[in-house]
Amino acid sequence: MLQGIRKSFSLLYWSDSDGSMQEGEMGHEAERRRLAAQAQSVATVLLALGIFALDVLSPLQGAVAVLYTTVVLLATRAHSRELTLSAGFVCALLAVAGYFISHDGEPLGSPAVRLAVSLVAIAVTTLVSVRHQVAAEHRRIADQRYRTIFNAAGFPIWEGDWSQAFAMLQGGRSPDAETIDLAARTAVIGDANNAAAALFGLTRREELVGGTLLPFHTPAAEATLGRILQAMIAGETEIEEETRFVTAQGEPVDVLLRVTLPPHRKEWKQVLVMALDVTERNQTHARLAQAQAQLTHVSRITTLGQLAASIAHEVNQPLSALITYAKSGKRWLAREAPDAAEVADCLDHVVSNGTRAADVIARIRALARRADPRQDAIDLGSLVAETVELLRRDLNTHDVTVAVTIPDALPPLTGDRVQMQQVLMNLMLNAEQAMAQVAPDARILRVEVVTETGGVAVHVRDSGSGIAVEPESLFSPFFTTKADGMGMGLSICRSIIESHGGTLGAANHPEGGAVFSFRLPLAGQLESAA
Amino acid sequence: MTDVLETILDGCVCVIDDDAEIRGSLDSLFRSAGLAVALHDSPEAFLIAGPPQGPACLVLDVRLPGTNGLDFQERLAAEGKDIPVILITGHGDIPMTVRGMKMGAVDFLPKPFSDDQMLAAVATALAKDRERQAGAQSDAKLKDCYARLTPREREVLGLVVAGLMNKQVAAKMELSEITVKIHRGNVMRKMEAQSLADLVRMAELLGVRDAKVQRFNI
Repeated sequence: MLQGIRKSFSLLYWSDSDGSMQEGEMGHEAERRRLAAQAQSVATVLLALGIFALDVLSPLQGAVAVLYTTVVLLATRAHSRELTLSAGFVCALLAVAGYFISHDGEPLGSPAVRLAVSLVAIAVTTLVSVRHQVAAEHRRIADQRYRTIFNAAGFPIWEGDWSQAFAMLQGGRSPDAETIDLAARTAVIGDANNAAAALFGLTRREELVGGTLLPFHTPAAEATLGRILQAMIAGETEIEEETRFVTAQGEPVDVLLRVTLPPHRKEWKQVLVMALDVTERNQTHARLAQAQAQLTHVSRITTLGQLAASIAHEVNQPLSALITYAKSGKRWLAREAPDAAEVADCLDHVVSNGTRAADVIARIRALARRADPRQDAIDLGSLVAETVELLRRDLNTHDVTVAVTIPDALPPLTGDRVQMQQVLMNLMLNAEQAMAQVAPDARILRVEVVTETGGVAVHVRDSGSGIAVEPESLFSPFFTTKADGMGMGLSICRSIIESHGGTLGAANHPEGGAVFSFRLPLAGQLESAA
Repeated sequence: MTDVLETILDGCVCVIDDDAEIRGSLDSLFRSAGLAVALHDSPEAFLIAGPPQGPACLVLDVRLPGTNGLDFQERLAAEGKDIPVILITGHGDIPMTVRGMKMGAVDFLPKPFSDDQMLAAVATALAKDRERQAGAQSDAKLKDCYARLTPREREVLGLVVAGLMNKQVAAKMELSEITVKIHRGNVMRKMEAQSLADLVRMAELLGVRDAKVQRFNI
């Protein structure tokens, strides 16, 4: 109220461009304030004239002129240094004028002393007022600057009054669901900028101010609030959290929150919250991850395509045996003396070969299926063995001898089993192709699993001619040494291993050939690293 | 179809395949048809076991670890081990088939094959082997007989089957016609020939006709 009067007063009487007026909250309220300020300024002038009249006309021997200080004090409310100085000057003149009117020609006596005291009082009041005004001006400018930044910032900012939550939590309550709910209900938004309103799908910031964020909360936001309260109780003054709200239209919006507790504001009366809308960033990430997953899948299918002949043979073999057993069972039955034992044996083999074919298909299907990356417990030893089995026929066809070394006890890993198998398959098939130019009996593929501190390493080594280029360049997308290669295999392998918190590299082995190694962190360490 | 199903065949089938289940299924099939079976997981195992007695055939997988069934077929032929071969494969192509058939394979069956086709092929192969073995037996007998002839009698045989008359043989060998007749009688008896035509056929098989001699151009 007082501030409003001050603003109107200055606007009416002095051309002091007050920045805060630009916010413009016009209407009846402003009109009313303007009239009040007008009345006050008239009252101030009347007061000065009244004091002058009292000084000149009254028979009082008191220091009436001292009362001019009230005029100066009233004038300071106009918030202008020049005006205060002028008021002081005018009052001093009036005091001197009053003296000369009442006591002109008198020898210097007590009236003169009273005048002097009054003048000193007026001067001191004026100077102190001016100094105060200067300080206030500085504060006002600083505040204005803060306000400008607050409003002009392109990102959402709001101030919340969390004092009720503070009171509750000081009472020794832990931030449980009930407290969080209460805190959310009582955290009134003191101020917010337009970007904040836009973030929540509102058009005007006034729709946000005075309310709470409760309508925009999601379960995730509740949990985040809990963590923020916990951190604030622990004495942190700057907290960063990522969470999700819903807009007034019901659209989810992902934000990165930065909660700041200004050092001079105690009891969480003015908690400053800045937000960064990361919805788009998150969507881009999600799309990128999706594209990556699709590419990974395509590459896996391509790899399977390379193995098509082996796989067909792998399935055809048990089917062929199965059919022959079935036919032969029929023959045993058709004999003059049907042989039940032989028929039973045939049927047993029909079952076992059917199962064998189904197993092969299940193995392939797991690889061909497109699924989101999973977090399985992986036994790397059995995975390596299974992958070698899957490629066995292809490796045999290419006269590759496989030597697998797996330690007895391997620590558990977590990750996507299928993707991991894809990496192994890729590295082993690459090794096979790298040895195409080597004499058949010198084609040796060594797969070695090694336990290391904090993880497990897998080395896939061939006996080919080694890597002729800078090994690191093998991992860049579209790099290929094969005529029909896409150049994505190793690049995808690396992104798979890295998404598991591991590393994949290549080098030439001192004894010849290339060795591709990947290292994966143990199950527990991956989680803490993520 | 029914006749094959009911036929009980006689002979031994050797199987070379690295897949135990394929071997097992063929074993059951052949035994159900009354055949003897010898199973081998590699060509080496087959060679070590040696060829079976009596009529036999070989069912050979083309795709074997470390080697190729077609190469092994070639090797057998080169070494004169002419056992009839039936090739089986999971994924045959035309060049492979042509090569196998040129090498004299009885049949080339893609997996999965029908039991009838397989048994028909085996029946053909065994018949072929039986014939081969019978032929080999008669050859051996013929050679035995020929070995019993004296040098003189062999000379007479060569000239007689060339078409010379006894008189001409006698003149050429500077013998009396009577002596030639005696030698000729001995030849007919020792060779167990029923007629001159029979003797000529035997001489052709043995390749003992005196090519330098002609009846009208002595």
